[in-house]
Amino acid sequence: MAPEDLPPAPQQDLADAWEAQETLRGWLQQLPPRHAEVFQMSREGFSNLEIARILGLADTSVRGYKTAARRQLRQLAEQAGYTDSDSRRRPGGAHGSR
Amino acid sequence: MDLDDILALAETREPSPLELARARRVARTVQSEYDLSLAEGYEIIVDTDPVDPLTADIDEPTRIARAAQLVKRGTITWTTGSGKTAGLLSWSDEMAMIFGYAPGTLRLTPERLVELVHPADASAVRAAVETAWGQRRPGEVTFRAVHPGGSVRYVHCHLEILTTAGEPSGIIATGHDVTAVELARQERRRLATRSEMLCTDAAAQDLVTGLPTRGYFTDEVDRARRTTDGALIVVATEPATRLSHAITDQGHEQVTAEVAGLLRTIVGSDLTCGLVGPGLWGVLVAAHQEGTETTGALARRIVDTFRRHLFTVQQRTLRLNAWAGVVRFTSGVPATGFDLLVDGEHAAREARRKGVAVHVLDRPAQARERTNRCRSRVVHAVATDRFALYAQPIVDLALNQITRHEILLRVRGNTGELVAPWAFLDMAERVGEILAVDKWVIDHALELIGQGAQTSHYQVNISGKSLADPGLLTYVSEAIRRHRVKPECLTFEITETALIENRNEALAFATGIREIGCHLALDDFGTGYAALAYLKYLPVDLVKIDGVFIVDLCQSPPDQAVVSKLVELCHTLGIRVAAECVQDEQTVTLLKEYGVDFAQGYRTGRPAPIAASLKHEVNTIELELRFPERRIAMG
Repeated sequence: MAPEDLPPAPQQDLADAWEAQETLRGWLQQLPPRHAEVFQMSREGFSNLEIARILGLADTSVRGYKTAARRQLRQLAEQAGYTDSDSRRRPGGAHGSR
Repeated sequence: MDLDDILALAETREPSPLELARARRVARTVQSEYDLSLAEGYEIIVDTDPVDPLTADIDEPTRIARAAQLVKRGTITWTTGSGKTAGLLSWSDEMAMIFGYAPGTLRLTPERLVELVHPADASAVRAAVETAWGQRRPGEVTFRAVHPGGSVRYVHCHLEILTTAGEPSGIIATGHDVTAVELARQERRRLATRSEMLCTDAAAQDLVTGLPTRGYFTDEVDRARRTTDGALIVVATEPATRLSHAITDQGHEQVTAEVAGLLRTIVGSDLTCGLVGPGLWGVLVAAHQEGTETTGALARRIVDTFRRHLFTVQQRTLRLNAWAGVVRFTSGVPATGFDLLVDGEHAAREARRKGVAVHVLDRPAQARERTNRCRSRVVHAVATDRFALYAQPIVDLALNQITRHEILLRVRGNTGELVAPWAFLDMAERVGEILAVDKWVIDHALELIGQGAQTSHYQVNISGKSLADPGLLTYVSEAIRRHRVKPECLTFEITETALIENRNEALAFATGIREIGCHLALDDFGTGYAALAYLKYLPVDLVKIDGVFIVDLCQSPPDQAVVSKLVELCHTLGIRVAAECVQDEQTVTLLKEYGVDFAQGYRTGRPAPIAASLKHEVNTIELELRFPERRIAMG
């Protein structure tokens, strides 16, 4: 089996909030600028209407851009190896480190 | 950990001490300004309201268009509202300018908008608009706009759905000119493709030994003699024991590769060495590389090591005998790289003749003397029939069976073994004696073909240089008649290692040979001097793609591109295509897929002798008589 055919090594969990933000910033830069802007503003607490006013978008578009941004971010996260959810894993408890 | 966890984790970030300090400083400044204003008696009436009063009560399209205008983007609005505004299509002044029209000069209709878009992109634009509208979701599209003057610009548009009272009421496109960005993107992609497709010069390396080829080495010698003093060592090797016929071509290649490896170990990586002929090895020593060991001593060391080394081939041991010739040259000698190589070969032959290990020439030979020597070698070889003819099968890929044979020349070496002719042919071509060799090949090949059943189709090589001879056509047609060969069974391959010397004469030969009924092929197409223009005016029936493009075909996208397109081109011109050097089954499959007509190579069959005339056996006996002498030379 060639090295490139091997499954990707499991990604180490991010250590702290600062690292998480850095990672996010890197991914947001790969998104189309509009998607990234809308996503970032919604995270900062602006309402959909406010975002539409400030960026000059149609009222319905904001929701579409947010979904699209989230979908692409999820793809990027999966490409980087962040696939299994903590929240889904924890209740089982079997894989958790003791 | 997945995206949600990462987002949650990012949320939990506490402000750093630096950020806290900065915030405190801002707060203090504001507080002090406030205090100061109060102290000076200003009355603070009310908090400022950041909402732009203009945006408060205008409809959605106007609001978006205004925001777009502020960042120099144009808008196209298309509303489906009822009544007066139904089906209204309009563009902003900025968008009109993006499309190359002065504001207000063109009334927009859907049909006219389609005309403004580049025909190749119209369907993509339509699809993007329909998808956005159908799914009620924002979209985007990049297309080319055709300006009234005919020039083309790239435009990128965001498509958004307008709503009135919660119902979709139209579509708005916000766009700007992205020509510069788009061109830069295309250029980046092109450069990436180019660097991916760029190959190293495969023609410079011999496939079996990995050493530089004769052509490359000749050029290196030529470069050295222009700039520096130095010396050229040519080592000739041949089996010290008579090779039995049981040793296959692979065995020979194995020995050759082993010798090459040994040579490289002896001379090290600093010196250029190359395979200059079958059993002929060149080493170039520039003056500054000479070091403590003189060139003569290096040559002797190479010869000694070769003679001492025990080579193994097919579970048998084999010793080589070796002689070296050394030519010294000073910088700027008139002799070319090729001349020096010929002198080196001559010196090696002298060493062999005298029975010494190394023969040193202190300076290159006189030009006239060298040419005469080469000429007489060729003439002698032709006169004494020091050649043999081999035939290599060629497979018709459509029928999957052998329907043709290429007649190949083999030259007899000193011990009578047959070697590949390329070094000999190179010399013959350069001294202008190739015609004699070609005539020998034509005469003997046709004789052998005429004696046989003539069930196959035979391909005979003719040098591009020989075509300049006006008598060649008569010679060929006379030989065809004399040996009673069916002309439709013959293809003449013009080898393109040398330039076609006289275009008009070549054209006359080509036309004449086809009138007789023979076919015409271009050999080694793609690497020699063969120009694409030849395909246009030479009445060629077959193009043989050079092996350089074939050996690595399955792994090499650039080779695949060249071969597949070349096949397409040739078939369009009514020319059949053959591939040389086919070495494995995958390549055959791929060639069939591309529509290549013929395949030739070790996969389909190695060259085999078609006949040995009586004279050759006489030669062999003569060489066997020399055996004791060489054993003595070995010590």
